[in-house]
Amino acid sequence: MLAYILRRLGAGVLLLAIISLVTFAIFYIVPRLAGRTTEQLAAMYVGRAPTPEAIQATIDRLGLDEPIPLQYWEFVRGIFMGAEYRFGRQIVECNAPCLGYSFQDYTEVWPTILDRLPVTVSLAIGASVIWLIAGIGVGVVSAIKKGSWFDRVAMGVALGGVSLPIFFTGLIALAFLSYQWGIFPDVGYVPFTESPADWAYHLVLPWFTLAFLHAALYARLTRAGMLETMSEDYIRTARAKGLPERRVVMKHGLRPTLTPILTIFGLDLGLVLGGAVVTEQVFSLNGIGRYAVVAIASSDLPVILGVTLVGAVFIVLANLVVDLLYAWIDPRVRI
Amino acid sequence: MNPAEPAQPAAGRSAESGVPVVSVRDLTIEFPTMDGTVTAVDGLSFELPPGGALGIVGESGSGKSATSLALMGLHRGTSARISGEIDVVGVDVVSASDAAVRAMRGNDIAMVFQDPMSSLHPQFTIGDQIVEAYRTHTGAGAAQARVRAVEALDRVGIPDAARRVRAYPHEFSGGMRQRVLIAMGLVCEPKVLLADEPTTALDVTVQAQILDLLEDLRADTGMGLILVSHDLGVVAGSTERILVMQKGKAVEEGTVHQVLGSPQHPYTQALLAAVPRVEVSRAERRAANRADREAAAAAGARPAETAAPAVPAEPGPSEPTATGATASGAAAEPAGPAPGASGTTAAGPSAAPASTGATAGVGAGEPLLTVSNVRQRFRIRGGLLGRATDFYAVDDVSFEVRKGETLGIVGESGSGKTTLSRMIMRLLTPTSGSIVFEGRDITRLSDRALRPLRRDIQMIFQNPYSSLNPRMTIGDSIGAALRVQGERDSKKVKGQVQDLLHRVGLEPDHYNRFPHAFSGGQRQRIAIARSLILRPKLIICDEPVSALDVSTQDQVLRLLSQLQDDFDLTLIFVAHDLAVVRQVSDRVAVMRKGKIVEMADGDSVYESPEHPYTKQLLAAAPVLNPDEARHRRAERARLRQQSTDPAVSA
Repeated sequence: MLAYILRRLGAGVLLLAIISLVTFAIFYIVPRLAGRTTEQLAAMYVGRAPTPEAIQATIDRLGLDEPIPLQYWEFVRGIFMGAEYRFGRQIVECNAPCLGYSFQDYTEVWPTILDRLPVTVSLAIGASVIWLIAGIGVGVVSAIKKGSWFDRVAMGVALGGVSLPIFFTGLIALAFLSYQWGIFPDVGYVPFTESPADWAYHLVLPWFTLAFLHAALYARLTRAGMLETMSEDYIRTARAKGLPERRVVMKHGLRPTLTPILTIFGLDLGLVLGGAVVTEQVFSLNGIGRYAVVAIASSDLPVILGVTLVGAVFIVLANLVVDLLYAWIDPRVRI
Repeated sequence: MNPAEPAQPAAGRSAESGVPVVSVRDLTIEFPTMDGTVTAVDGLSFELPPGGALGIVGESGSGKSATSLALMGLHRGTSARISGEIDVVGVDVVSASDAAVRAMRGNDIAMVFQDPMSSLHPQFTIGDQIVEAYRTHTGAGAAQARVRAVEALDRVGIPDAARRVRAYPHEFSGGMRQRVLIAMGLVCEPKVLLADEPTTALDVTVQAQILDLLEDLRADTGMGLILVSHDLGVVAGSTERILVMQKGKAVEEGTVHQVLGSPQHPYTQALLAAVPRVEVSRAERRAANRADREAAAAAGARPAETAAPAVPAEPGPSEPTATGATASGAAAEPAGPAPGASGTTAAGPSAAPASTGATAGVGAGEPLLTVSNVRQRFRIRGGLLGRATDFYAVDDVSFEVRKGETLGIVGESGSGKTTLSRMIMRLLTPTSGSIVFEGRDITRLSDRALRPLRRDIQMIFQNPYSSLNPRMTIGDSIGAALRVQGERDSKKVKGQVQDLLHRVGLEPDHYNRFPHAFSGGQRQRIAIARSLILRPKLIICDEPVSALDVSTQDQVLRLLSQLQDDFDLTLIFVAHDLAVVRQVSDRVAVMRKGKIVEMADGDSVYESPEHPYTKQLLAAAPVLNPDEARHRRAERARLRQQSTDPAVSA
């Protein structure tokens, strides 16, 4: 068990190293392959009227003229040991884990991410609870009442849910529920510590919008899995024991159905924790996803690298947790 | 208690108390389908007295499983339409409320299913599953229920039950899982145990153990037993009365002695004749087959080489219209061989010397295949750091196959017989040892060098449903090998394939049909045609008939035997069924745990077995004579008490 966890964590670290390398390469090597010079690269971070001096200063400050492997090494060392940055004459200490400074507004990346994390986590946890309960619940009922009007309507709605993008459902929800009828506040985030009620109230729309998409998928998966499980021999055995149908479905039928769904849930949760880009954008939530969007638009490499790595960490951890849960749910899986 | 006596006291009890525990009157089960209503069971009536044992026998599609599901009320919630009366311990299963039926299931009547591998929930411990059944009906506390579960497991012979109660199903073998399912059925002390093909998925020695256990339990607890099976041999030793079903109807019912001793209905007679008997020798069987063929030829029905008796019996490509015709066909046709088979006992002795002479001539033939000291190692991963342990699936096996003979390889699951045949096919490369085919060492030939050899060695597989590509017409499936071997002329390919289809008893115009249009027996004929198309010298048949009904099995065996004569084939016949192997093999090798424990000519292996394992296998083989079956059961019980050899029961 412990050996397994350590092995998985080791693999996770390796994965993170590869991801950071690739991201690094995309932003440093690809522009050069396209023919950009160091000066042109630096000019992007100078401002409206780049003077040669300002460009040179930027190159020095960011270390853009150093060999790329060395730049990567500096970056990695910063994460573990911290780093020092020079802004003109001023020397700034960046404590480990140092993901560097934003090229655009000179703020430190890691504290910014930490600052925005509660927003993203709130969004992700709330939405995932909703989509799990709704998706699995609807899927189970659809499966047992296969062919009924409930099944047909639910699967129709689910098909819509899978095919409608969040910027559509989100904007529709905002337009009616917020602007038109004023049931929910439009945008903004209230920290949980300030007022849990307000926190939830402000997040209801984003939660449901994000959950709708996933719930639709989970309902379809649960229905399909449940239909398969309910035709297994051991379900017949359970019925032959004289168990009430509710128990046959909820205990004997649901558990095997949940195992593959759990795997997908691990991936989805990891993805959403790494930033629900569209949802955060639509509802103007200043989470990690929105941070990434702004950074990409302005080629802010350290921010992009930082957000990518944090997202990858979430995915690796979520998958590890899921695999451990998997072994608990299904005793045949040996760890 | 003494296992020799159980039948009598049980029968005694049944005579005393009058009210039957199960009574079925005029039961009809219909399934609406796209092509109209299918009647699975049609006007069935029977009764089971308290403590009685009834066998329901029939081939696939006879409606026996539909009947057993209906007894449990398990058709509820499906599209099946049930009419008639089913009374199980006072509950009218057809009309009672869901709650009443649930209270009955598992409490008054418990069911044991065919496939123990899939009938237990993989994610709960066996203890939890048994406890659940007990608490549902008794409302007992968890601790008390657990005590009961351990008792039940102990009763069905699970060693170390108190500890194993916490184990998951995947930690048990198939036979042990079936014991667990029986324990689950017993825990509420039902009046009736309904066992639907409880031993079909099990090895022959395990089958005998389970049947012995059922018999013991019936004697101990006084519960009634309904044993549903396609195998008359299974039913013979474990029941008092037998009901033979065909196409949803009971064609014959009576005591075991009546039905098996002097069957009245032609279908029962045909079924009995088709059962391969372990006591019938190869020579007798061959003589009977030849006599049948000659009789058919003399009658001018068809040219001798077209397997005349076999053809009309199988349902044609599954058009619904054809089934009506085959209903009578299936009944009438196997009746043909019946006189022949019963005649064997008389004809046997006189025919035997002649064919022994023939086999002696064959025996002198030169070796076609020589296998020396082959081993096959598999690495099993496990342990904390992924350490691998070695496992020898085949361990130091040597034998020779001479031209024109049939070598039978018999063994239970896990004995390495399939691994061995895959090595001879060179689908696996032996870890050590050598395989010499026609004087040429093929042990380490490269794939490219093997290709011409693939012409000469062919294989027929067990499952005719999964071994044919469903998206290829059978003509393409059979002809593919010719094309692979370089034949370009499509007309020539088609001609050869159609000729072969004819030879295996199918119609040439079946060429363009897809596998789904054929029954299991027909598919196996297709598989045989496919293996013959390249005119191989050696065919390895890996359990070629174990997925088929007895009457179909009989036809396919006849076909193989005839084709062997016609094409001068050498066969390696791999199977778990002792009787089947005996009837096709000149020599028999008995495998156990990767080794050949005994090898000799067929008759000596069966009549004077040397190795204890062979003796044990033979003692476990089901026999059709009920008295003989009870005698053997007593013998087995005696052996078990003498030596508790755990290696054998595993």
